[in-house]
Amino acid sequence: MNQHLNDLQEIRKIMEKSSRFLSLSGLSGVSAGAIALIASAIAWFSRPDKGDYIHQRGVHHMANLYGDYIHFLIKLGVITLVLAIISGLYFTWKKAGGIKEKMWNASSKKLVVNLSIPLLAGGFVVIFLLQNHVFWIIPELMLIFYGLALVNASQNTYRDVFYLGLSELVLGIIALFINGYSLFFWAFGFGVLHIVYGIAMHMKYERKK
Amino acid sequence: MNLDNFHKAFENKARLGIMSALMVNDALSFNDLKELLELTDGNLASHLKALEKFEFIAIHKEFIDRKPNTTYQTTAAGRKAFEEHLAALEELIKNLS
Repeated sequence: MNQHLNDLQEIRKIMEKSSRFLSLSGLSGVSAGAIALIASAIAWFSRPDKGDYIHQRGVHHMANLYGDYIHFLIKLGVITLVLAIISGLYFTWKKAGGIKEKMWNASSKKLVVNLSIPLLAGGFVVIFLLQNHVFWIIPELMLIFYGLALVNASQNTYRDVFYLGLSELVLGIIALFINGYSLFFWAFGFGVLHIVYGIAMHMKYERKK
Repeated sequence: MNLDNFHKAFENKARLGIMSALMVNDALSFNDLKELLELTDGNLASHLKALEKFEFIAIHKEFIDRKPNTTYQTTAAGRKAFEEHLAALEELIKNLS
């Protein structure tokens, strides 16, 4: 009789293992979060003096002076994204023991596809907004689309990713209603939340035994 | 106790594993299955052949970048037999407790 129970447990284990990508490392989250925090700090310290400018010319002309700053932020954003992806891949590659087949398999492919769909949609929305000089809503939308992407992809990896996604999503929505703190919300979502969830996942799945 | 639904195709642990993995995936390659179930090439190939003989799985051969790529899928008959096998397993354990 024990044999049948073992069979059921084995079936369950294989189904779980074959549909979820479990080489995702918590340290990937920590490194991506740290990079996001550094980028946020750079963005904060290089911002132009807003107060003086509004006083002199009015809010509507802000985009002119802010043009250089926006260009700088776009470059900073792209570099941050690339570095975060590289560091994330590195720690996941390490956790997979450097084995290519373990890193790029049926479940990780599904993870990438499900993550990419909302993320690419969000990316195009952001590009559209940049072209039309609507900047104020971009950090919030990044959080919202990223949250949706994580929720969507969580079916292909650890359950914790679902809650991380939900947190990013809620944070983005809260940020929509609170003006003037976009960068702080962005830093909290992409920096602090990544680090907190990354450490939690690392302790839970990688430190055991 | 009804053991009619205990299909002999699933008596082996490796075959049970192959079916379990294919039930939750549209299609898996030979290498996906090998890595997942930690079986040797020969062992996996023989169990796949056995399941194919029962017509529980279907084989698709195609070329990606001129390299042969073989993927495996469950058939309708395979899914039905596996579900019945699972139900029978559950029934047995339920009757026990």
